[in-house]
Amino acid sequence: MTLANLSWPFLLGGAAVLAGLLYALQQLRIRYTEIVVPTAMFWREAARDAPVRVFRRRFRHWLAYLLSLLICWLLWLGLAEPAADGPEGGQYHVLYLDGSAHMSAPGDLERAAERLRDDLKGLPEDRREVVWGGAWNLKLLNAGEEDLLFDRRLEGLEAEPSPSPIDEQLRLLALQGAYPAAARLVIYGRAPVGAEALEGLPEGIEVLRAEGFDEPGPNRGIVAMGMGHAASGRWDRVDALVRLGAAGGASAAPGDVLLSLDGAPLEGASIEALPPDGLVIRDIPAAGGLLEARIAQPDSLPADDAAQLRLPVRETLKVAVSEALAPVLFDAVIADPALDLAEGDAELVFRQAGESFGGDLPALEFASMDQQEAAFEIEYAGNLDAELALRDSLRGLGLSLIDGAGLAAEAGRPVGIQAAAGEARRISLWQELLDDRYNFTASRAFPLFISRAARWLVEAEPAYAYLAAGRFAAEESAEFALAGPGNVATRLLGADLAPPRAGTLSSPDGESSFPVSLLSSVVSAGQAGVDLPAFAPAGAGLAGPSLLAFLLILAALALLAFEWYAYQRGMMP
Amino acid sequence: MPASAPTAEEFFDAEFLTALQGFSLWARRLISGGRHAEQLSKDQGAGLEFADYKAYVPGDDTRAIDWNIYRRLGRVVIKVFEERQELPVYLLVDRSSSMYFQPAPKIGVALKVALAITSISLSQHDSVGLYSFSGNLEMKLRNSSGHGRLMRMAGRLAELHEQDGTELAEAVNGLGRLGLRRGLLVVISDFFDPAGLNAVLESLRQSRHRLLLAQLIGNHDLDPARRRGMRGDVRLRDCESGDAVDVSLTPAILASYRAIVSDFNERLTRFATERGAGFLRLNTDEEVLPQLAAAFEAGSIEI
Repeated sequence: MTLANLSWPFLLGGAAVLAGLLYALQQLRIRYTEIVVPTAMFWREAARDAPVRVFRRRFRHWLAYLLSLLICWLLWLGLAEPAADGPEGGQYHVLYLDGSAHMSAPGDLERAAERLRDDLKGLPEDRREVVWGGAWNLKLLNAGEEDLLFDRRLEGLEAEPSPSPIDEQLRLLALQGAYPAAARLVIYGRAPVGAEALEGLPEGIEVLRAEGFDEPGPNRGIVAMGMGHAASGRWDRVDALVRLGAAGGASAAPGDVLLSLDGAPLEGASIEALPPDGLVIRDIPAAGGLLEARIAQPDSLPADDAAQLRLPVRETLKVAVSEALAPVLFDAVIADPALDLAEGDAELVFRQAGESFGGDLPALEFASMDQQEAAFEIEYAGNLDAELALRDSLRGLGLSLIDGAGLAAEAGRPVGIQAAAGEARRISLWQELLDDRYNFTASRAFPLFISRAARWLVEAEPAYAYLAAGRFAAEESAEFALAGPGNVATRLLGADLAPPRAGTLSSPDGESSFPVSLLSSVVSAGQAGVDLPAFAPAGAGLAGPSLLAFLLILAALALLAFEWYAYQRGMMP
Repeated sequence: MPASAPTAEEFFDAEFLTALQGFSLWARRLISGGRHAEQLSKDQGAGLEFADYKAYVPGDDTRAIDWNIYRRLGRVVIKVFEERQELPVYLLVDRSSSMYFQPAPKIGVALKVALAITSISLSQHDSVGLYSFSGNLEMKLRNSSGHGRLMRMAGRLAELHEQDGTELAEAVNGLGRLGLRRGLLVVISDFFDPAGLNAVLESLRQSRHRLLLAQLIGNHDLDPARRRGMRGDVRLRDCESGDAVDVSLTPAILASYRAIVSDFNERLTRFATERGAGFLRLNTDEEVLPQLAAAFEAGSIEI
């Protein structure tokens, strides 16, 4: 038996206090109402066989005391709202309707909803709630709301192409005070639950699964699709990786995948199989096209049968380098396939600080150590937090790769990086770093810095290595996200949020849109997690806590009526 | 709560007394010695009503010889006549505190009953005397007869006032010690004597007089639950002695009380029957006259 309102120690303590209190009341001296009568002689005789209660006299009315005590205890127990143990007993039930991609097979969601609807009838309204587990968790039915609202709120909801947010619900259940101590999460669907999530639940919380949703159907899907720099070294090309997953007895082979670019079959790229379940596409033109991978034979789970990727635009930048600068900069530009050394139609310039070379074009400037305190000064437009901008700069511009300690030792002063908001983007660094005595130009960070700084200065279009439902994009696209408001994750999403579901993600200004794919091995490969006990509710009964409390109070009232009857009949004082 | 007695004018109700004119009170046999009145006595010969013949013996009144019988039969017989004498009526009225206890004092009814008995008795040429008792016995009016005595009796009744204590048994015994001529003792009381009903009945049993018992009882005496405040735990204090008894008023104890009162009444009734006494039970919460009319159903009470 479980209690909804009181703990067992409190209940038992209260019962003991009640017993003591009633005993004391029985023992208390009575305040008599004095009445003058002419018939005291008769009363004296009548009272001879029915002595009154007297303080500290031997306790005479045990049965009356026990009856009163029983009534008080019943009321006290009713207040505690007990409930009999059992599937639909005193535990609070969270009925979790899985609306994720796990349930996108036709008929699955309807079946789960039907099962849930049946089980609702057997649960007390104030001890259950219904949660929709789509792209995120949504309360469909609060505790105390009528079952009829379930169908109304379910209207228009379909299984969403997203991983299940069941872990969020489990975390909520684990929070102290968020739910009653005795609660059950019943999953109506195939959302897998990991062993780690279960271990984090406090004692008293159970996780069950409605019957009929244990075995996923045969499925194969794309579990990964991403891109990176072309291994060939060509700046205007990218390589892409596609990986497949299968479950329920199905098999996935690279040959099952159809590739297209902007709707047309992919041409001009070499495709390599990556056994056993992947393939790599080499040298895809990085011209902003939409690369799609689709499994040739659709199955029961269409959400993972296709994945798309927006390719970056990789045009070479025309860079003018001031003659006043060291030759090593010319070499770096020439060596970088993404940069072209230009003179007249340059898009940006490398120059000395204070030099008029290049006019108003974006410039990478080199200043004397005497003129500039920090080794690297970065100005960005917008109101990004300076600390955040600095952090992104270190990673995005490749500055995290430089040997700061070595440079500082050589320079005899600290090598610092300073980020500040300004009207336009600007990067300025010590010109002395280009000297051979510093190891900066010889380090691997130097060409990366030159290349990234050039692209950041002209605000090159961002790109994502991949966008998958339920996974943060910022991490994967960090190498494209340079300091400042150009941080693509922030600019695109408005916050560091993972796209909740597969589909299309658009920037707030509507200028950019990116496809988001499901890319979930949990969904596609059927990683079912731990086996959960089956939930098999009994029919609607009398075990609801409110009903039981009502019955207890009813019993107390019946005993009160009996006490009154006994009092009237003279069976008790 | 004590109440004062009504004045003579208050209870000397002409209409009430007129309604009593048809009632009579008859003693079965009186002892000899009284003056002539309307009560049949044990004495024969001096009255006006023919009773029987008897053979003449020397010494008999020769005026009573029936000469017609002697002429026809040759035997000398004399006529015997019944003698009617007065009945001494002794009113013994309870004036203890219980008779004056509110909310329905019994004393008013007691005085009316006493006045009614007085009126009836005087109309039969009987003599009526008034005695009252509480803690002790007091003679308020010596026996006398004549219609003119009624107002005097009313005045004496009105003068009665409340006194502490109830010693009915002692009062009856005291009356016996006065050596009064045998007559009718009318006890008007609630019979609530702390000495107990047994002592009262024993003293009445010892009395030389014929008895007419008028028991006065109120609804609150019969059913105390009617009274306001009679619930829960109460301390019941006797209005006369001041003694208290603590009672948890349960239906059981109320039933027990009712049974005790019922037994009390039953014993009083049974005593009257066995003793050949007249008995009136009058509810003090109801009108007196209808109750008296019911008691004098045939127009008379024979004792």
